[in-house]
Amino acid sequence: MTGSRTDDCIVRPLRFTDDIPVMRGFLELLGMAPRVEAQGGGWVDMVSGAGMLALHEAASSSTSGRPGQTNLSFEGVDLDALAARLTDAGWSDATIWDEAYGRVLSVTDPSGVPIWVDGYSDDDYGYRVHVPDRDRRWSVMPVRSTANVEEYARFLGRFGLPDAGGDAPTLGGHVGLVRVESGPETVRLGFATEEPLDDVATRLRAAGHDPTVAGRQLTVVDPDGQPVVVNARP
Amino acid sequence: MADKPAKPRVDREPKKQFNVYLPASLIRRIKHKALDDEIVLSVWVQRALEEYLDRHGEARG
Repeated sequence: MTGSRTDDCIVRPLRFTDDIPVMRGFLELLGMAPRVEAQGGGWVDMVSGAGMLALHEAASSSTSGRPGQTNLSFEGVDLDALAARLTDAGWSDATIWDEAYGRVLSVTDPSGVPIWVDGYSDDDYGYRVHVPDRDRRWSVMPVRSTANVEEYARFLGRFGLPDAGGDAPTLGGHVGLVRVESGPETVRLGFATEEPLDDVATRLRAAGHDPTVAGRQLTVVDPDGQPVVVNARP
Repeated sequence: MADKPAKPRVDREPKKQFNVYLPASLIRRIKHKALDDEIVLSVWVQRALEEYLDRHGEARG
């Protein structure tokens, strides 16, 4: 069985941090708003106009996530269909299991790194749910660098992320974007926005950050010490 | 959280998936309790099953 929906998965990179409130405040400067947070702390996920981003307390990570580490991850509607699509395409280790907060799919990406997809759950026990206003001008766009751009793009295609165009392989659309670049294997946070970059830079500077704008790209170091790139989108 | 000392013999073993059917209401209670206890669900279930075996004894064979 092969799923055919193209909106099964929402791009939702996962950042481990040792200061969730500070990172959350930083991301709010980049058009994000909290959607769900753990009542006991330790987790918050935030929405953009397209795509999401999750913050996880590094100290309580069951996978030994380090502060500043970013993992490419997703939220999914139909994990069984996704597992079938991945298996059909040769990623045969796709596995689904239960966590207390919902079902999870794990699959090893073309670089040998586990990718997790959290399934949707209608059980909000233990979580505080917000009704955020999405800033439609903004999209989440993590950047995955890899030695095999073409294979990684094919892999992301199984998540229902079509080629969105752009000057580098960029996949996604209304579910967020993932840019795939050649180079050392890393995942960085990134965004695309229709908001003028000078306005974004002014807001960041007012909050004590030190962004630089060069052409159609803004770069700033986040509170975890990691570079974040914001790309202008026409 | 106060972790119960785990049996080293079990923790060194590779983990395998163990699928069973349970009443939906029990699944919900288990997941909520694991969230309250801030314990990963697999670890919570492992401890519950070990506790049962500790109380009721191992299989004869």
